[in-house]
Amino acid sequence: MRFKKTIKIGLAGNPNSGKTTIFNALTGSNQKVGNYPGVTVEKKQGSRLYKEIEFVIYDLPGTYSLTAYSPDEVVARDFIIDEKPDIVIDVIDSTNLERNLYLCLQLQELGIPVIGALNVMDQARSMGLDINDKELSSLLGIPMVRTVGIRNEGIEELLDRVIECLGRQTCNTKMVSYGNELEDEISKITEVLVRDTVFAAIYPPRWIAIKILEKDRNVLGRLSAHSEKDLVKKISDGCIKEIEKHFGRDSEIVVSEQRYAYVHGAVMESVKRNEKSGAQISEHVDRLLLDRILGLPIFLAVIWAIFQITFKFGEYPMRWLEAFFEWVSRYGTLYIPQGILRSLIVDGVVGGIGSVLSFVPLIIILFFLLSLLEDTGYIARAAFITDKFLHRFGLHGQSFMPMMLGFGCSVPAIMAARTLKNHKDRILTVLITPFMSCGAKLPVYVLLAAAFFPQNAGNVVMSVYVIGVLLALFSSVLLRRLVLRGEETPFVMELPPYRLPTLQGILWHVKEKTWCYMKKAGTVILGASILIWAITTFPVASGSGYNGLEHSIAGRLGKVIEPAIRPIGFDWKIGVAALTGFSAKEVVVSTLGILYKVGDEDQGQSESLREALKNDPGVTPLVGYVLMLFILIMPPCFAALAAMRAEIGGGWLLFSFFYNITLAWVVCFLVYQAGRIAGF
Amino acid sequence: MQKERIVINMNISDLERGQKFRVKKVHIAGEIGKRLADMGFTQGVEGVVVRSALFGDPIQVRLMHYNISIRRSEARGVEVESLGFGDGHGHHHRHRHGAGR
Repeated sequence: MRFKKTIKIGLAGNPNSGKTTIFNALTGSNQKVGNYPGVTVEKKQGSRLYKEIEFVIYDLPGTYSLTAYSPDEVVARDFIIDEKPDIVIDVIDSTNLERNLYLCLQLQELGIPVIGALNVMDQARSMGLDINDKELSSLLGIPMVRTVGIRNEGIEELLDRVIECLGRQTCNTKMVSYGNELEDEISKITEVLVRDTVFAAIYPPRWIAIKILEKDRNVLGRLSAHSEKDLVKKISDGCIKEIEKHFGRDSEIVVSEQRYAYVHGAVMESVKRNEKSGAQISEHVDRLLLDRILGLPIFLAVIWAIFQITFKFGEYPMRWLEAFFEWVSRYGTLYIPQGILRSLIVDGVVGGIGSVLSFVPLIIILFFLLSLLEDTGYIARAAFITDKFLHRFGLHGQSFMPMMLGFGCSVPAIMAARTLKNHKDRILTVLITPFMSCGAKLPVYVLLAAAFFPQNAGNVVMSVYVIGVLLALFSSVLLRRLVLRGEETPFVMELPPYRLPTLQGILWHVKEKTWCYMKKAGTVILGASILIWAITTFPVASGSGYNGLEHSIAGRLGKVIEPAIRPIGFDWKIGVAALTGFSAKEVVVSTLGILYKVGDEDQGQSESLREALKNDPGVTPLVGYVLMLFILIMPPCFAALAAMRAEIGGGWLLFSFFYNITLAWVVCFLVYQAGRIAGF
Repeated sequence: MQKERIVINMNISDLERGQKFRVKKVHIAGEIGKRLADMGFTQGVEGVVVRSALFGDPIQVRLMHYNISIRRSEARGVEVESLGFGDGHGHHHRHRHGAGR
């Protein structure tokens, strides 16, 4: 066998630079075309065999810079520092050279050869930009290759240049010049840094020196590994002071300005602009979509349409799936002998898988529509429109979409929070999303409202929805103050030009989301369903239905927790019903059905259950209302909890669980006690 | 740290729709200031205020041939000089730049 060479490539670039199209063109696999920051949070990997060399390509998160402030940026630079790829390809949006080259120069400082892919050259040309790539290349000392990712143009040239660059030892011949004043200070720091040879072998000294001047906390932390860290600190403090005195501004800003100045100089010499007069297409579209008066109604209409399409169209496949699982259950009941096994398979396993899969049509439709909005560039506009209102409550413009979707189903809503780039914003949005009453809570509200407030059912249900929204906003303010404190995160957000999405890109994204949901949520939900099945089944009593449930673990648990739920007006039966609400909110209705011994469960509209509830002296209308509030505020269903764990991690999941339980109890307590005093 | 106090302290938030500007200095420290500088709000760069959202916040600015949205609170930290109102969008060129000594 012949020796096969492997070249490891890190693929970097700005968000919206077409990096993902280059990745697809390089690796042949199809991926999502990113349109807002945070699409490629995980690093993706692909490979290609070309000229008997295996190229392994790592897709890094799209970033504008390489600071320590954003997790994406830290991931990108840590990959380059720690994993030391052979070369970095920086995908550059040719229509926006300055901002893209700003990143390119920072990549070069990481001590790994860099090649620039001047992407979307066709668009640059049609905008009247005449880029002299050879000139730019020699000015910056970085090889540049013209590419058009979606048309596969320039991809082999790119690989040829990689081979050529690695063949020669001197690929990147120049470094940014930050001007005399800054360069003096950089070399002072570098001189001390190189004294620790081990440290200098891992971290490029010049890069560290620049990062020190940028007051990068991540790099400052890594300095503790340096053998002469105290001296480094002393020297760098002096340098920073010197710079700030000379330039009259913060040193981290000075570094950015000098870097940009270098870029501007290079661009001025290598690019001719024959700017076409008149605004671009994007600006024409924005004039309508971001109109001060029309912008908001259009946005609300878009949300409404997404909502309608998702839940109206999703209903059909959901019903087919339900019918299918009903058929499976019946089949199982016929062929499996009566007993625990039948109960486990029919009620536990089939029921559990059924509830997992019933969300899949919703997720597919919803993420198809959301990807469409993302890829066109509208999501950023939506954030622009809603930011003012949400920011008052400590939220972000991009929190709006997940919150609205929460009215349909928390699972896709929580998954949609990934559009939020900032970690804290994302956590906060995920934490408050369950307060938006999801579709499964509605049957519970309807049952209780119809039983206890027949005259005013509509208004009562409405009030629960409103309370949910108020609690979401209240929680947001509270959590911002208490647990998600810290410096305000910038809103500074690019409004990318509108682009036509590709069907392939969208389908890939939908596939990825759906698969991710099925894999991560599926196992958890199945396990949880079996658990709920077990505690409502064991120990097996002689009778089924009411007797079975009363003597089951769940029934006993209900009685154990009765003292805790007495102050909010619940007896053990209501407690058990609420407990089963953990698996899914609509289950509460069927549990109540069993507990009140009404024949056919699952009949939200069933008059007998309404009558039974009304006739129970322990359940006053006040208790009924408090139960609605409890269902609203208590932790969401297992599917939503599983989605939460996947998006924000187990720690925050636990936090959310206890926060919701506590808030539910406190609110219910206040309402119940106040109601009693008021004589209800 | 500021040596020379600027007499007329105009920032992006003071500008009206369609008004052009040249960046003089970013006054916010920390993450927000660095982010603004990273996105191109640096000395000498020219831009134009394109529009603001409902209730005047955030603001859309066109800078270095791309559009960016910033909150008013952030815009207040970017000191600029006004270049008046021009015709149409996107005609702005850089004249001076900090380094190059």
